[in-house]
Amino acid sequence: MYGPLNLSPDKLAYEAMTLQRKLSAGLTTLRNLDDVHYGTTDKEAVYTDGKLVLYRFRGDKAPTAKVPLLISYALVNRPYMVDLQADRSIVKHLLELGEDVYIIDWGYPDLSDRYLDLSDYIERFLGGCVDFLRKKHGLDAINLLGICQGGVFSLCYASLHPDKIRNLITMVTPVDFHTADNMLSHWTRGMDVDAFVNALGNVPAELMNYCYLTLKPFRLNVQKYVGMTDILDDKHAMEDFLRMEKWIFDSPDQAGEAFRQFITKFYQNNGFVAGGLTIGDKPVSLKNVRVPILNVFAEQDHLVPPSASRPLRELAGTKDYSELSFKGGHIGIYVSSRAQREVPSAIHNWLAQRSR
Amino acid sequence: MSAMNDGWTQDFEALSRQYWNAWSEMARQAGSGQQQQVPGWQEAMDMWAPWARDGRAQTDDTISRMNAQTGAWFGQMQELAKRFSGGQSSASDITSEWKKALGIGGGFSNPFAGMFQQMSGQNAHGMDQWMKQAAPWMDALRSQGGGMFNMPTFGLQREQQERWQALGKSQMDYQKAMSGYNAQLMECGKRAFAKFEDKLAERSEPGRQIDSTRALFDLWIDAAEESWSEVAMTPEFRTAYGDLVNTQSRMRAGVQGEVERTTGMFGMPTRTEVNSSHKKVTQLERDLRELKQRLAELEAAVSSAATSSVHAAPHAKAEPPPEAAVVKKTVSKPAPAASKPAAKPTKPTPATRRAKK
Repeated sequence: MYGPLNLSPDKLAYEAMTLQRKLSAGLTTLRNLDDVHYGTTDKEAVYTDGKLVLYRFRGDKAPTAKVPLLISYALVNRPYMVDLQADRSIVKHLLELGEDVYIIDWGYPDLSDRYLDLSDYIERFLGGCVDFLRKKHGLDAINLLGICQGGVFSLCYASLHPDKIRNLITMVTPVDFHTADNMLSHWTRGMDVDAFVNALGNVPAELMNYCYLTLKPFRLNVQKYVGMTDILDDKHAMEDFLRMEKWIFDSPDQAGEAFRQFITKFYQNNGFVAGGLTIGDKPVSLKNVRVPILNVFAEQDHLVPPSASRPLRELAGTKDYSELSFKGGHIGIYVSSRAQREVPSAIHNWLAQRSR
Repeated sequence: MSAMNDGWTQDFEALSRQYWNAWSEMARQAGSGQQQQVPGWQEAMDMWAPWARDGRAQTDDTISRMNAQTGAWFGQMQELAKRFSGGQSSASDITSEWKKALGIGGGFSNPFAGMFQQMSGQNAHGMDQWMKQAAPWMDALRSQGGGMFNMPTFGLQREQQERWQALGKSQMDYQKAMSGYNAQLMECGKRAFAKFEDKLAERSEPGRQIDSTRALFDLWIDAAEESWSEVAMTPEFRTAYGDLVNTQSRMRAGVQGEVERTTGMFGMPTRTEVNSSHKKVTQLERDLRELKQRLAELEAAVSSAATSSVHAAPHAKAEPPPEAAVVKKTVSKPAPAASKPAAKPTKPTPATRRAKK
């Protein structure tokens, strides 16, 4: 009879001593680490509004694209996941391919921003950046790349101002918030979000992080750190690990009113699918989004399952709809080696085909 | 610095040698029937973590997170692996020992709840964290007669008494919701142990056996994560989660109200007053933007109308054409330069677009 374990004192002693060796090496590695930062590509501020700053990335060569590409990231994390480090930067690859890339940094809201609502974020902030770029480049419409929550904002904006967007790319963007595999949505639907925001004011970043970590609590809080011992003797790998840690936990608080509206309109009322969605007092319908759409989603995404993104095909009014199904997760779609190979070139080629 | 480094390296190496010797001795005595005490993961981490911290947030925060969560789980798993080394035990026996190791049946009966409590950091505004912060208020509440929440109130202190009753009731509601949530975590634990046993049973054949602590630990993580993804998606969990968040929100609001009343007596500005000011400023900003936009549109309309009237009256040459001034003015308006952040963007008007062309 065989049991499930084939452990011996020798094996356990070897494993324990290997671990100890890693810890010992880690002491030297940790002391020799460089300070980790993210956001490596040169950029310059070209426009500000409140705490928002619009940056233009500078590549090694001048852009060849005639239409700028504006990246609108989510509010819940810093936008530099798309430019994490030199060898993990979607932005860098887009620049190399000739795109003219801008990114919105939403900033860190404080209590004075508590009453900013979705209309402020979509019409004032995102819209302000779009108008600035249209004017600067002398164009009626620009290309927009919305990521995650920033993708939701982009869809709303494209519905409200279809004449100002030439091509729309959505990445890991939820559209149907009520699919059966959406854990975040499942949890928020029992929440009294009014009482929650009224009590908290702005929603603290650490509370948001706690919520995200509890989506996979054992992998993200326990297994990940046991696994970290494997790379304690590898300076480069440890710097990558710490850079990712820094990004994960460097989160802005959420402006209370915008959070309240986002949860209510999307997570609870599923506005894109159920209808009746308004931003400010203006109705929003995906049927109004008639510009070409490239919808990029990640097959192993636990935050925005593919089933939440795919319905865009049916709901959008466009006749020019394309999909890119990426083999990876919500973070891997920006930072994995596969992402560097596949995502920027797919975006660039798709845009190039539509600029002829 | 080098001398200092030599110091800590030597100290840690000396401790490491003791650790190595203990494990070597355990391996040497295997089969002798003697149970050798050896330091495990937790001891290694306790020894290592203080040396590993270097005063930089990027490292120290990560080490704190690592130490907080891995010690209990991986350390216990290492103990379990030691207990079953060298024999052929069943999946059921191993799972049973794992339950005992985590205190199931003992005083610490809900290890998942313990893990979730540890996860919420200082500023996470989590449930238990916040309860600790609110403890002085709650203690005061209890001293006011916590068991009398449903008594009728009357007299001079009636309103105050009603508020305290409501606050006391909100605390009881929260504790009830917390019990409901912990019951869900308990259910998750039960399922995790059942899955762990199933997964172990699947490995009970040559070539599929587990041969390291780490592999055993990973199997447990798979079981725990699978059970969590099942339980967290049930209607019961959604209700428990919602109740927890909602009761805490109401209790928090109640305590905030009492804090405001107290600080207000000393002339301190309250959160409500500050919120009110922020709300007004935000709305004023919106109104100002709208007015500016309307003004820009009016200017554009005037410019456009002037252009049309000049085209309609080509003989009026004595005076400089009014539209020229307007167009010239529009053209000369400095567009936000690429190198200079523009604080207040203006919407491009038809006139400016025409001028650019």
